This record gives sequence, structure tokens and C-alpha cells, in this order.
Amino acid sequence: MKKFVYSFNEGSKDMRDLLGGKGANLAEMTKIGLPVPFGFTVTTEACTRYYDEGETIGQDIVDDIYVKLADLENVAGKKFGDAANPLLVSVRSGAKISMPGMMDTILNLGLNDETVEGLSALTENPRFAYDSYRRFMQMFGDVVMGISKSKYDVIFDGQKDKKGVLFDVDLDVDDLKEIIVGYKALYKEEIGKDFPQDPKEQLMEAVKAVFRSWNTDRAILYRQLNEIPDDIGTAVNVQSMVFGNMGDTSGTGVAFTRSPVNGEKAIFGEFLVNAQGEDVVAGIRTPQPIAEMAQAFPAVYDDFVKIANTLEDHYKDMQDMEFTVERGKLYMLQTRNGKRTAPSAVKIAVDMVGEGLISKEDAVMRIEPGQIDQLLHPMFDARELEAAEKLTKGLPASPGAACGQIYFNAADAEAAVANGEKTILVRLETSPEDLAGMVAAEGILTARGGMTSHAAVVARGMGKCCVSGCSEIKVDEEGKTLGIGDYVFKEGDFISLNGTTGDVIKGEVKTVPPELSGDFGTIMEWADEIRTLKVRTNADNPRDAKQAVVFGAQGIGLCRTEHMFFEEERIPAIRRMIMADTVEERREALSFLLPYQKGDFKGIYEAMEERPVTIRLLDPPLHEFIPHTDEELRELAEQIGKPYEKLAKKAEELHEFNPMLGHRGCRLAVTYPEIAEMQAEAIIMAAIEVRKEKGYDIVPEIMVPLVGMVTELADVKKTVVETISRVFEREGVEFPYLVGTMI
Amino acid sequence: MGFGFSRDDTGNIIKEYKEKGIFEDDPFQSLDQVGIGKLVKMAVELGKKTRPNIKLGICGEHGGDPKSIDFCHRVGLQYVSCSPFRVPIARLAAAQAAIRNK
Repeated sequence: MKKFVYSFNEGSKDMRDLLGGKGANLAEMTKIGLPVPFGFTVTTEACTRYYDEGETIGQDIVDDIYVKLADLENVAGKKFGDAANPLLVSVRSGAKISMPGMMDTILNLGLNDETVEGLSALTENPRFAYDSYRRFMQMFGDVVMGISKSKYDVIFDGQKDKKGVLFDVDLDVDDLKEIIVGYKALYKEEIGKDFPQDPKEQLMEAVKAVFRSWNTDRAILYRQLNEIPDDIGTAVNVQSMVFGNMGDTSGTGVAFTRSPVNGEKAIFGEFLVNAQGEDVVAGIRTPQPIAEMAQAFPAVYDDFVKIANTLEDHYKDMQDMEFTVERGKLYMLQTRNGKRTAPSAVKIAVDMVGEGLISKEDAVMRIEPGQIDQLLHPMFDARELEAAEKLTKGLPASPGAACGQIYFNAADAEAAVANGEKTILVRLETSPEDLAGMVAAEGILTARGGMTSHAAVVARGMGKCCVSGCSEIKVDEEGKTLGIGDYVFKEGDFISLNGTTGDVIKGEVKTVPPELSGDFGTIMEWADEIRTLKVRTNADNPRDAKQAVVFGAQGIGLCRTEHMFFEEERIPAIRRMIMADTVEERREALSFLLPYQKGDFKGIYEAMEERPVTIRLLDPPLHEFIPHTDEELRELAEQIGKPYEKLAKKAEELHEFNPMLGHRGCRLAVTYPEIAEMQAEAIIMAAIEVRKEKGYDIVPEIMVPLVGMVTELADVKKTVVETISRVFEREGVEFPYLVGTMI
Repeated sequence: MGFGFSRDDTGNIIKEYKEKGIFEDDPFQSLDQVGIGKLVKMAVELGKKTRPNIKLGICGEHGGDPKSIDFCHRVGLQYVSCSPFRVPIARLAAAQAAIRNK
């Protein structure tokens, strides 16, 4: 019989498809003897079946869950729903591919009117117990049953007002009990039933909620952005609770074995004393750097560092870990390969080869090709940056440089980008609802949230510049203003962000090209050693050609010639050529263009030195070059001394219903061989001159565009070869050249 | 061209095709390996049969798309050609294709 539920001691890291990333790694950590609270994983196949069977969980799966729950009770030495010694669990989603912040987590499940008393007695901390209960009720109502969180906030804040206190911690047990009464009433009003007191019912509802959360809009959007298939489903992890909020000897944190920002080899992370995990990730409280944990809990910190090293050696990759300290004891709640910026990815890969952890091939495979983009894009011009006014500093959450006009919500930012503006999204803090705006913006600035907040994690994943936790700014999302010091910026004002330093800068700052040596150069060298496919570039001017050479292009695979015709001093000649009545007239116009074309090609040959250059003969239909308005056509008539009526007729003749399939490609060269002759002569003359002047051994490659039949190619090739032979004879030189085609 | 699609006129159509799952990827960004890919493969095989050392490459956006690069490696093209800013991406993707298809 198929197994739909696995205890943590039954799985391994190789079972990601079935257990999801989180479940597989919890099983692996259990296997290698790390301190992981026990639990079990409901498989992704159970999720798929849930959807196949009309969003219900089959009885056999329910039975499996109860069997594993009994095992969990035995290991934990606690019982689900037991008034004296209750087992409490967390329920978390975990797909094969991690989807940060996308799916919902439920903590403290198992609490009810009876077990809350048990927890209170066990911890000798009634306030803690009742606070846990009201948190659970709120999470369950919000995440599982879809009751708006703000309705819970109204009840909670109402109690604070009633009591006349500002902070949550000022509420005592009786206040919390009153809040719980209010929460129960809210639940009944919204759902029409009492808040479930049976922990097993709570558990099954929570499992279903995780399965449902696979198909929320934001989860679907994340999958689209990251090309994750929709049908692989999520697993559900049910794990014995540990509490980071049991007082000052408890805490919780997230940490990376190396810096996800720059790759530096040192524990990087954040920590909060007396808090539950969600407090760190949601950015509700701004956490302390992990180094302070070493002072608060030196012995636990030493243990943690050892475990971090064990995990990195075991997985041979940088790890992103979540952990909790409950009354001085360390528990690992998650580990996974950490998301990182491109500079960090490159440094870690190169360092790990140096440390003997991975091979050069592994290192090359570790870099996401799309991510390299981040390294190629400009940084701020140092001099301009020095001159610019730095307004304040936030956390350098995701590196890079960005400048743009500020907008205060995702929809406005998206609309502005659609209008062609560059934007900076400014928010108090971001949530998954802001995703589309974050995608559209050049950079993101938030007032709240740490280096592991939603904004920071998502921006790093997208390679987008982000400054987070910028506590000195005043963001008025409603009034659409950003206050920094004495300045008040309005929607549409320009600011610049430096995601590498955290600086927020006034106005627009110019940017400069990136640094391509160092670790990046090393990785690219390894890639070049390994690959067999050559990489050329598409370039039709010397500037692009030079840029491509800097980036390692081995030649030009496509040099289009049409763009060269559009320049101001040339377009009259090409129009004269198009409007010509006789071949002689056409040749005359073309002879005017020849030196320009030769100059273009010389510039490109010089930029490419001896690298091969494929030049494509003129491809687009001729009407693309002629004026589109009557007025312009009249001007042209005057310019070339032909009657307007004649030109208008010609223009009409050239009009095509299907230009893509019309008089273009090699069809031009077949019907107007003079154009191909001129271009072939320019290509060869440029090569002759650059060979002479620079001594480069240039072998021109001429591409005949859009050929359908071999006879077409033969016709144009004949024109090209005869022209070149004539030029060779005239100039008294000869060298190899290639004629090919594009199909 | 093989699809009879014009890049300049089909943006909205492609968006809807992707939403409806007709296209997995925008064929102007990532080469359609099933249909167009078959034409490419045919060109390579027939070309090499006639002239074993024939020079074959691909140019356009596909030349900088890692999935398409993997395909070009497998099918036996000699080079890809892409816009300057995609050149490093293509170099890395070509190395990864070589490792993946060892």
C-alpha cells in the first residue's frame, strides 16, 4: 500500500519530491543526529490526491496521519489533547522547491480550553499559555478559516485601549482570557460554528488549509515567476512545538552559514530573545545581529556554530537555517540551501572549490545563469555618488544600484512602469501582495524589517536592489509621502538606492559599468574551459561589439545592416535609391551609401580584432525606409526632385499586407542586385583596409537572409561572389571569405 | 517564422497562450524544442551529411536563453549568438549544458 505519511526518522534529503524540501531536510537532520523536534510529513502525493479527489482528504490518509501522530506522542512523551501534559504541534507547508513567505504556518496547534490550563501548569506561566492560545486562535481563524486578521486586531487593540496600555506585554492573563472570549464570539459569528476544541479536528483542518494554500493567487504568481510547475503539490510538516518565547533564556533566529549578500565565510543572521519564529520573518520586531546571541547564550551559540558547520559539510552548500532556543536548549527547525545574491553565489562557489568541498564543475553548476545579470548591470558612478546627498541609511538587503521615481503601493508602481517610468517602491514593509510591484520597480525601500524580512528575501531572489529596515524614514502610504530628515518627498520624486551599502540618496545618480574580474572572472574561466559551444554576439555598431568583447564574445553571429541606413545623413540616399526609376539612378544613390557602409564595417572589424564577424545583407522590406506621412513625402519629392504624385504611387506600390512575408530578405537582393553588390563591396573593402591598417587576419562572413530555396541562395551568392572577385582584382588582393545563409 | 508569428504583433496573444497553457514559454524567448527544434535538428543533420564541417549557429534572443542553449549544445550547433549583455549568461549556460549532457 502506498505510504502518504512519513515520520522524520523515515526519510532523507533525497526524498524532496515526496516530502518537500523542508520535510526532506528535517528528516536528514534527524538522520544525522541533530536536535530536531520530532514530527512527521504528509507527502506531496497526498496533496495531489486532495485535488484529484475534489479537495477532500481520503480516509486512508487520515488513518495514516493518526498512526504517525501516535508515534509522535510516544517520542514526545505527551498526548494530543491531554489536559495535564498536552502535545502541541506546528503545521507548516513545504513544497519541493522552497517558496518563501508564500505558504502559511500554524503554531501552537492542540491548544483548547483544557490544554491551555495544562500548558499553564507545566510552564508555570499562565500568561504565556493564554498568549499562546490566543495567538493560535488568531492564526487558525486567519490562515485556516479565512477570517480577516484585522477583525482579530480590533478585538486585541480594543482590549489594550480598554486597559489604557500601549504594548502587548502590558496585557495580563485576565485580559488575554477576555480576548479569547472575544475571539470565540468572532469565530462563531463568522463561521457559524464554535471554535474547534478537538485537536484532531484542528489538525485535519490545518492540513487541508496547507493544501489549499498551494493554490492561492500569490503562490501561483510566485510559481509563474520562478517557473515552478503547478502540479507538484506541497507536503505538510507536523512537528512538536518548541517555544522561543518562554522567557529570557529562550529565543529564535534565522542564520546562514555564509553571507547571502556577499558570500563572506562567517555566520550571518538574526536573533530575537523571547520570541516565536514568525516574529523574525514577518519583520514585526527588528531583530538583533546573530553576534549578540554569542553574548546572550555563549554555550548555545557554540553548539549552533558546530551544527552550522556540520550542515554545510554535509550538504556541501551554504545553508539557511531556522532554530529556536527553549529554556537554554537549542533546536533546529529547518535547513535548506540558502538563497543568495549573484556576488555571494560566485564567491561561495569559488571559495568552496578552494576549500576542496566541491569541484569546478559543481561550482559552475551552482550559478544560476539568469542571476549573472546582476553582476553585469551598472553600479553608481563613484564621483557622482560622492557628490550626491546621502539622506539616510537602511539595511543593505539586496545589492546593486537603483534610481527612480517613488511610488507607495504596488499598483501605482506598476502603472508608472507601464508608462515608461523607472520606479522605486517605498513601503512600511512588504508582504506577498506587493510582489507584482516589486517585480516592476527598479528598487525597493522599506521602513521596517530586517535582513531576512520579506522585502529582503524576495528582492535578493529577484536580484533587485533593496534597502530594508530604514527606521529613520517616515512613510505615509495613504498620503503618499516619504519623510527623511527635513525633506518630504512626494509620489513621483526621484531617489536613488544603494543596495550594497544601504544608502538612500537624493535625486538621480549616474551609474557605471560593473567589475568583471575577481571571483566572477574565475567562474567564467572555468565555464570557458568546460563548454564546447561557442558564444558570439549580435551587434551592429562598434560600441555594442566592444561591450560584447569585454563580456567574452568570440565573434559576431549577427550584424544587421538595416540600422545603419536609418542615420540622418544616409536616409535621403536610401530613399533616393528606393524611388529610383532606373538601375543607373539606383546605383548612383547606392554609391553614395558605400563609404558609410564601409566605415560601419571597419569600426566593427576593429572592435572585434580577428574574431569572426557575420554580416547580414539588407533584410527588411523597403517601405520601412520611406516616409509614412503625406507631408514628409512632399518634402522628399522636393529633396530628390521628383513629382510628389509619382512618389505617392511608388509608396503605395511598396505597401504590403504582410510585410513579414513580403518583399524582404534575399528577395530584395534577387530583385535589386545593386543593393547586395554595394553591401558586398563595402564588406570586402572594409576587410581589405583593416587587414592593411591593423594587420588583422579578417575572414568576412556574409549572410544572405531568409532563404527558402537553394536556387534563391545561388542567385544572390553569384551576385556577391562576382562583386567580390571584381573588388579583389581591382585592389590586387585576395583572401578567404564565407557566404552563407539564414533559414 | 516557423509558427507564422510576428514578434511585433503577437505580444498579447502569447500572453494569453501562456495563461491558457498552450505555450509553456514565449517562443520568442525560449526556442520551441518540439516543433521548431525539429526543424533545427533536421537542418543540422542534413547539413552535416552534405558537408561534415558546415558552420552552424543560432542568433537572436534564444542565443541567450539557458534552456535554448542547452538544446543548441545537444543538437550539435557550433555557436549561439546573443545580445552583448547576455554573452556571460550564454558562456555559463553553455558550460552547464556541457556538464549536464556529459
